Amino acid sequence: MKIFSLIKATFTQDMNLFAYNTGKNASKSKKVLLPIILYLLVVFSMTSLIYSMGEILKPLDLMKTLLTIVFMGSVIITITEGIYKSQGILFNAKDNDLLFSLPITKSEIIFIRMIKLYVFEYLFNSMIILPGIIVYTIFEHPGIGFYIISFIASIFIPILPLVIASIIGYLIKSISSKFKNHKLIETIFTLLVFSVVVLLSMNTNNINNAIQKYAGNINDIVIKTYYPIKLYISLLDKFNILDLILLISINIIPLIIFILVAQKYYLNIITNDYNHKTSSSNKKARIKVRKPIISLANKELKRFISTPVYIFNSSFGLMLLLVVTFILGFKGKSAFLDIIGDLSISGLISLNVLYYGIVIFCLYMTSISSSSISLEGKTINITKSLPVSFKTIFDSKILACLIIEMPFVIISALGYLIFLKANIIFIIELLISALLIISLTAIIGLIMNLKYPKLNATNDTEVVKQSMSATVSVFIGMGSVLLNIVELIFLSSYISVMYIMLINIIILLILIVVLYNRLITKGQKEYLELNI
Amino acid sequence: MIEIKDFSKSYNNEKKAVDNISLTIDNGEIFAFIGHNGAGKTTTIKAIMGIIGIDEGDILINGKSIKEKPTECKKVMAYIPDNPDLYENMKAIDFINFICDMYETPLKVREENISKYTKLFGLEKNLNDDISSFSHGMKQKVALISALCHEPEIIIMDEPFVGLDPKAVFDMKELMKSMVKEGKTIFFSTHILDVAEKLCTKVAIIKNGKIVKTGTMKDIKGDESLEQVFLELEEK
Repeated sequence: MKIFSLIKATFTQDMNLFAYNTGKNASKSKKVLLPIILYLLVVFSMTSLIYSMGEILKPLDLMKTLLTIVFMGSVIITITEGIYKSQGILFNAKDNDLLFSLPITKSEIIFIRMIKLYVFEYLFNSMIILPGIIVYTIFEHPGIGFYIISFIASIFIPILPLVIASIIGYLIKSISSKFKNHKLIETIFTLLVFSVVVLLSMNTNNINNAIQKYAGNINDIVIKTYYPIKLYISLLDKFNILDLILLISINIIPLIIFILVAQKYYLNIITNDYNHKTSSSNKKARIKVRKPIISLANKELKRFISTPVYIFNSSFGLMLLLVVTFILGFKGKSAFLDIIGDLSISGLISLNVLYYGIVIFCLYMTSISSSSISLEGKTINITKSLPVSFKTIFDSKILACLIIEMPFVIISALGYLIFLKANIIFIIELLISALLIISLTAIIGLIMNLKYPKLNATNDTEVVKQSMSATVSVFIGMGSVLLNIVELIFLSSYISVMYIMLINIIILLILIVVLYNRLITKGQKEYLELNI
Repeated sequence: MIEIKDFSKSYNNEKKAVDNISLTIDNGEIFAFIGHNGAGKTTTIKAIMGIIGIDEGDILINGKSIKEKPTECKKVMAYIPDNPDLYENMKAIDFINFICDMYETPLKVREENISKYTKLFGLEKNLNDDISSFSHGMKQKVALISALCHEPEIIIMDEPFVGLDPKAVFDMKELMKSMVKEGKTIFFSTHILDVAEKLCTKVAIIKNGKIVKTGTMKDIKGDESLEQVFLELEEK
């Protein structure tokens, strides 16, 4: 019963993903409406995407391959997401002191944390798995057994990847906790591990070619790569109780072993983390004078760099921009398209259009400000008591986004200018566009964070990865990317990319004026109403 | 001078946390605001500081409305929260500097005051340490130093003595007395009635969001102790 009470308490406290505090007159159903609509939109988009795959695979009688791909996708997402989510949820929870003071074992605490990680991952995974099952149903009209087995598989298959991700997260945390600048080391390690995963994914062509010699098709490749999916497909082909037990055991046993092993060192890691914070320094304190907005932006930057999950979550798009520029610079467009696996558009779009599209994608998918208000937590009372207008506070948050993101854009643009001898006007327009997109996403992020604040989170991961404002901002970013891609594909055959960029700059300016005005009018009131 | 005029506040359209209260705190006064947990003390303090909105009424700071001119009002005030939730990722000196930046305190003034108050609270050797490593009391001292460094006219404190060691409590009380002699105004909430009784010139008792008694300390307690008066009011 104890464990159920703990799970209930954790979920009540932490899992209110769909709740938001403003709009006090809004009914409960109204409050959950937007998240449900967004979830359904993603499921619908994924279903459309997977349906088009189904249209190709059905005539080849390879519909099970579709299920294999869908489950493999969920496995990859669970590992990549879990690596840094696990660090926040397992080790940096604010309720550690409370839980450790209770008469419960460390393994129970780790179990609760793992359950929390699992439920969030399950929600994300369902946005891929559910469309896969829908599309399979449309094409194959399977019997009830398919749904039962798929449901069981969807429950158990993400567990092993989650354990793998937690082990990696655990190792990163263990190593970094031994260093004085442990947060910096943690961020570097996480970025390194993640880069390895991304590079491996980008080089899957080579890996696939090697495997393909032995396997006949994608289905065989995945099945040979990840055994639990093989069991799932075998169960669909022919139900066998032993395979089912094996599927469950192969996922559950590693979880139990992980909890039992990790609990031995759990307290040490958390204590080490704390001990490094208490090291005293005898350096003479430096007293500097700054303008309020600069000082506020500096506070935002300090918050950013002291939160590995925040850096990691926000810098993915920015790092990608650098990597893509590097690939384009050294390997050219065809090599890049080869990596992303779409040679069909090679002849249709120019390099400038492609690069502009990449910049748009990377910047719209980077949302720093959507967590910045929530991350203030209880310190928001200090910020609100300061003799600066709320407008200045918002401006400082937008400025911080520009300070973080613009260097990546400038380096990439310079790289593009030098390596690919780009037109200088194109680069100037690109930089202006970037400046405006960053400002716009920062404003949207703040508006969303004011609409969906989460000031009482027990750890930073909850705010950065699992909060409603971060999720909605990412969805808005995705929508903006899609609109821009459609616009680019449609217009680039008629007018030069530089004219398209000019049109977009005007649109961006209008949007910024409108949304900034909304931020400093309604947003200021919402900010004042935030209370913790 | 602080004038609270018919101030009311409720959260989520539920019962009023503070119900139509009016108070005047003159310059050079130490004003104690006492009441049981959840009586409305922190809500009132947050409203004075412009941290939360005002549903009804107004709060004037030196004649200016906190609703209309929040920045101007805040410039003359300092706030010390009940729970020193400071920016944990900063070093103590960075936090103090940050607060001084917000009040645009000149370099010379902040240098002098940082030196003065860190010595007073015994925090000179910890200025370069991360706030996250500090105990509750040390954080409270950082909050106090940062609040005093910019030389505010009005100091608003929510339970300022909680978590402080006995010496720091003594120093704090002496400091409050000397600041009041300089003409500064102090408004603070407390549960420590002995301190309020010895230190304050005026007092207000709040119960269930309403002021049940206010006046000079002498008038309020008469021949009784403040504790007796408070308990009698609580029982009613």
